[in-house]
Amino acid sequence: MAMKEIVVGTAISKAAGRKKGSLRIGTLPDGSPMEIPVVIVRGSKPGPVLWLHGCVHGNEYCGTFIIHEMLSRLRPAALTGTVVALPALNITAFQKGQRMSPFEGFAGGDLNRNFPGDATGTLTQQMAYAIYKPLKRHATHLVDFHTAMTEDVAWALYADVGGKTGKESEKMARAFGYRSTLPAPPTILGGSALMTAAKDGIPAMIVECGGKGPAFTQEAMRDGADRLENILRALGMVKGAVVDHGKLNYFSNFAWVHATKGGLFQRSVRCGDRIEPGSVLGQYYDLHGRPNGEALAPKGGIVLAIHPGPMIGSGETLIHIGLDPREV
Amino acid sequence: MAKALSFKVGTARARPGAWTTGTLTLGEYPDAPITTPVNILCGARPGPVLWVQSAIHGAECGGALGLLRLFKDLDPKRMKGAIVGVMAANPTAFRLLARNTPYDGENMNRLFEKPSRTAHSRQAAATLIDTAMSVADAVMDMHSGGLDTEVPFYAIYWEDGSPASKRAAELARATGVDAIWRSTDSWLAGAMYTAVTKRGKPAIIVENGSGAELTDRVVDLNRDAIAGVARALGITPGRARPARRILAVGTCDLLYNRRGGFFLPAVEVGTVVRKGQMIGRVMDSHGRIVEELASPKRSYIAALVREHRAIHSGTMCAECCEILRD
Repeated sequence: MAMKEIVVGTAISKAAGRKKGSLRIGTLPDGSPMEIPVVIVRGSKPGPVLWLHGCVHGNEYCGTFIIHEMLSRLRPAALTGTVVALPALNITAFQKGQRMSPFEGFAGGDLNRNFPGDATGTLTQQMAYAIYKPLKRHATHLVDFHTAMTEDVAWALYADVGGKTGKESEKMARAFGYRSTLPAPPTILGGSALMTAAKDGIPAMIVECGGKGPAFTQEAMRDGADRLENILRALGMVKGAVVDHGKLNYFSNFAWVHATKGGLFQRSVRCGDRIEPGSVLGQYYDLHGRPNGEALAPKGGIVLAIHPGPMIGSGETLIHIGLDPREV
Repeated sequence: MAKALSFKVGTARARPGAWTTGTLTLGEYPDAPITTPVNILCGARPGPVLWVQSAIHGAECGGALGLLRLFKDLDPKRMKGAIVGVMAANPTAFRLLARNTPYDGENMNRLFEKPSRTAHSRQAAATLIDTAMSVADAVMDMHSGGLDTEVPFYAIYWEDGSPASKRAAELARATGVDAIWRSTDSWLAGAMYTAVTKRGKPAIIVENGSGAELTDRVVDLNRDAIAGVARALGITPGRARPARRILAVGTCDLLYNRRGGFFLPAVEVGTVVRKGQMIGRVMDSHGRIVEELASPKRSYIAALVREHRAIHSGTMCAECCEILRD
């Protein structure tokens, strides 16, 4: 029996094997297409369609490497179902090494706040539309790769939307197994691929691994690929025993805390550390080298991300805290 | 509202009968404060305070030049109250002539609905509106088309039927513009003029020209607009000019392209076009017309991308406001 065709841009998969192509998500001022790479690896037996994407924020490269490491391990003959991978979504931001597209001037240019997109909207809305249309059509599961500020970032979120979608999302997150995990309620992250997909019945999770730009290690990347492979085992896409990562720390929500002063900054906590209200997070210095006060935690929880220093401006993210950790 | 003759905006202290200067701190670089220059022209007698700000979108600095031209014309000894000039409401964007804040990419004029002390632009917006609300009786936010677009000379106020909104409509008429946008558009809920109006004080935007070609005429019109509002508030002597025929416009549709290339406008800003009328085309690098953009309704063209500007897909090419009343 012929397999159902999976079409993502010019990557067209009709049978077991590996197909590469590109998806047009916009047009540059010179008229040339703004295209992103697509890889489809299809197994010989039907099964889930796991959609992987990275660099929705252009400078969060670790996920791109995790996806490529995963793709290099896949053998179509040993795969049940299909992996659809888009390793670099926000391609103009990716090229420039920044979060949002350098072409986005007028509207909120955060691609991960603009799903499901708009075919006649801003550049970012058009990009989101072009990406989400095939995602919604083909994907049965979604893993979206992000990073934060430092190389020690390692936490995850899943769409805690209830029902079968919520349960399946949690199954993926537990298979990935980062100890710091947020069951994300449907009231947060509006416009993200995670929440948009989950509300359309597609189980989804986000992985936050490593820091922005080159701030991630080979070890973190390989560990991410190992954990991703465990998701494939949990979904029955590859054979092997599913690794049980044990109890995880679930959070009630997260809190962003922003710097209220500028200067030099030296952190004194690491990702994964437990903090209490009033814990010292780091030390500010002025440019004459004089201490200019300590940064204190306004809330307790687990450190998900912390500013790396060495310089900080007011309003920059100082710390990202996972609130009310409980072992589950 | 009569005001004490002495008040401060940042380090600028109003002094009766004098032009004083200083800075208002809106954040901190890693090494130094982020400040905007402030000018205060204070009358010899108490009276209302008009807050005039420019460059909340960094390249839109024609309002600052119009204000300086007015300050040089005015005799503060004949004034009641004061005019406060905040010359670069988004200082880091102003330095780069960028629309949005370079540090966080935010459009600062969308962040006033729920001011917070989170990201830099939000901290700056909170300081700006809190300071304006504490000293001013009315707010003018001066805009233009920036480097990429052209706009006609028109005013915007938030239409919600409140006393502040009605007063804002009167001040908009006092600017001498040809058209007034009675805004109820949800995408402008976070703009400063909307937030100030909702807090009970009249506020308007004046749009004029572009930041790329700042002509004497544009600066003069900005000067006259501020002078007209100052007169209407009773800060400067003289009677308000008789109302002219003004086009009332409403809900705005934003028009985006889907093809990249060079923009070729087919109409001028400030004109009224019919539904379906072509307002601009996109020419690709081979000289072919690859897209035509048509107005979705009979509308007033409130903004248009500058002629020959290279644009990517999803560029905001035009603002089309519905015609309410001529």
